[in-house]
Amino acid sequence: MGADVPVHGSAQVAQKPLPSGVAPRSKAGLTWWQRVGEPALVVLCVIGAWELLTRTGVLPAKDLPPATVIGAAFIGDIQQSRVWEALGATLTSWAVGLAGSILVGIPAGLLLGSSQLAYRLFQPSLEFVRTIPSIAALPLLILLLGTRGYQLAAAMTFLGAVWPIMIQTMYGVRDVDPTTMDAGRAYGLGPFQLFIRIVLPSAFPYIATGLRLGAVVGLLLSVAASLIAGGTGIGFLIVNASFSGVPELVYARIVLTGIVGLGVTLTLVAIESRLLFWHASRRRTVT
Amino acid sequence: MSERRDPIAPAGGDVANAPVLEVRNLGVTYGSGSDAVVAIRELSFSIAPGEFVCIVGPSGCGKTTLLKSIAGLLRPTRGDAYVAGKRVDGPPKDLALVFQEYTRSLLPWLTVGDNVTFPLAARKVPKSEQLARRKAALAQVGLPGFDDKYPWQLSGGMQQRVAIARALAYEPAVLLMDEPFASLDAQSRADLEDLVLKVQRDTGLTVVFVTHDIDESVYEADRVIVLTQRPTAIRQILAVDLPKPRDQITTKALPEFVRLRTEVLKLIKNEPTVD
Ligand SMILES: Nc1ncnc2c1ncn2[C@@H]1O[C@H](COP(=O)(O)OP(=O)(O)O)[C@@H](O)[C@H]1O
Ligand SMILES: [Mg+2]
Repeated sequence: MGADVPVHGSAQVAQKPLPSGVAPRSKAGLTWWQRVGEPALVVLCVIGAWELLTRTGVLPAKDLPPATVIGAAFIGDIQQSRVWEALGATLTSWAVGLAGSILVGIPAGLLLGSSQLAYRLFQPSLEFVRTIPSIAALPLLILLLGTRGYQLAAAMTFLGAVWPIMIQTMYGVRDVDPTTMDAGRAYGLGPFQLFIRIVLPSAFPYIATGLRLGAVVGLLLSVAASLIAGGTGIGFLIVNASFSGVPELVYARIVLTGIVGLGVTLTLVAIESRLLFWHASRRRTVT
Repeated sequence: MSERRDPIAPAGGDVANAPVLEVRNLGVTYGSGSDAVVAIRELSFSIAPGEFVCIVGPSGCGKTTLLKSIAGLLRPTRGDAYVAGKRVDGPPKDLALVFQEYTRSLLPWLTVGDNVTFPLAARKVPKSEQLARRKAALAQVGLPGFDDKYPWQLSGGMQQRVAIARALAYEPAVLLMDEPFASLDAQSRADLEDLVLKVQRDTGLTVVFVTHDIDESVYEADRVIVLTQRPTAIRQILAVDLPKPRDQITTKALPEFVRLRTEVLKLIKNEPTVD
C-alpha cells in the first residue's frame, strides 16, 4: 500500500529543457478510436469470452455467473436506493478522510520538503511507515472508533491517502529547480513570495500525482473497511450479497465499485491535465 | 586610434563617476577541510556607471560564483561586493540577473507577460506601471505583443529575450549576464549580442557580461577582465577602444579587434603577451 516514491506519474518528466520541436505530446497523434475505441473493444472481448466460458460450462457458472447474468443483477441493483445509500456512505467517509489527509499531508509535506533538518529526521521513518499496509491498522481502529459510523472508513481513507500526499509533496518541494529559486531570489522575492510564486507551482505536479494516488488508495481502503468490519458502506453490501448466496450480485457490486473508482481517477486526471497544461509532459505546441 | 586609457580604472574615471559596482578582495571557497575548493582566490575591480564589462575565463574558473556573490545569492568567504555604494548582503534592489539556462530561470506556468512582471508584482509596483514597463521591455527586446504566449512556446533565442525583458522591466542600475547566449545557435547569438549592445547604448545601463567566448567578450565590451584558472584571480584587464556602434562584420574585421582577441586568447592560454 502507499505509493512508490517519488512517483512521478505521467506528469513528471525531468524538468530539463526540451529540444524544440520534440515535446513529448502525451498520447499525441492518437485518434479518438485508438485512445478510447480500441481499449473498449478489449473490454468487450473479455466480457464476451467470460460469457462464452461460463455458458459452455468451462467455468463453473455457480460461482462465476455469466456476464449477462451479472449485467442483469447490476441493472436491478442500481435501481434500488440501498446500493446508492451504501455508496454514498462509502464516498462520504472517503471524502472526509481525503480532506483530512490533504489538510495534514500537504502542510506536513511542505514542511518536510522545506526544512533540511525535518527531512533528515523524518524521511527514514516516513519511508518505513508507508511500507506498512494501512489495513493493518484496522483492528486498532475498530477498537477506537467502532464499526457503525462513517469514522472507521474515513480513518482508513486518511491512513491510506496521507502518505502518498505527504511524500509526493515533500519530494516536490525538494525538487524545485535551484536556478529557478535563484532567479526568484535575485529579483528580490522574500521567503513568502518565493514559496507562493515558485515553490508551490513547481511542486504542484508532484502534489497532484500524490492526490490522485491518495484518492484511489483511500477509496480502496474506504471500501475495504466496510468489507471487513461491516457498517453501512458498499463493502458491507458486497459481503452481504455473498452471505445471501447471490454471486451475481457480489460481482455486480464489485463492478459498481470499480466504475466509481475509475470515475474518480478520470476526473482527477482531467483536472490535473487542465491545471498542468504548462508542464513539459503536457505541452501541445512548441514552435 | 585614440590614446590608450588606464585599463584598471573604470572608463571615464572622473571623481563624480563613483563606481556603480565594486568588488574588493573577494574570495570564495566551497566546502571546508580537505574537501575545500578554492573557487576564487582573490578579485578586486570596479565598474563605472554605463560601462559594458565582459568577464572571460576558462570553464569552471568561478565566473558564475563571482556573479552569484555580486547578486547576493552567495556569501563570499572573503571580501565584499558593493553595488551603488552599498555592501551586498542579500540580493541588491538595483541589480538584475540573466542566466544561461533560460528554460530554468523563466517560470513555465506563467505567460511571457507575467514572467516579465512577477518581480514587480512581488514588489507591489502598481498594476498600470507594471503593464507600461512590460510593454516597453518586450518592445525593446523585439517581442511586442508576445505577452500571452508561454515561454515554452518560443524558441531558445526568444526565451532569452524574455529573460532580458524581465531584467529591463526591473529597471536595474546593473545588469549581470551569466553566459547568456552560450546555448543558442550562432544566428540568434549574433542577434542577441547586438540587441544587448543596442539596449545598453539606449539606456546607459551598466552591464557585466560573463562569457567564455573570447570573440564575444571583445565584441561587446568597453573593458575585458580576463580571469586565470582556479584558484581564480585577475589575469589582466584590457581596454577595448573599438568604435561604436559595433557591427558583426566590420568590427570583427578590424585589425584592432583581431589584435585584442589574440591577446585575450594568449592570456587565457597563459602564453606570454607582447604588451
Ligand atoms: N555549490 C558548489 N559546491 C562546491 N563546488 C562548487 C559549487 N559551485 C561551483 N563549484 C566549483 O567551483 C568552481 C567554479 O564554478 P563556477 O563558478 O560554476 O565556474 P564557471 O561559471 O566559471 O564555469 C568549479 O570548480 C565548480 O566545480
Ligand atoms: Mg558558469
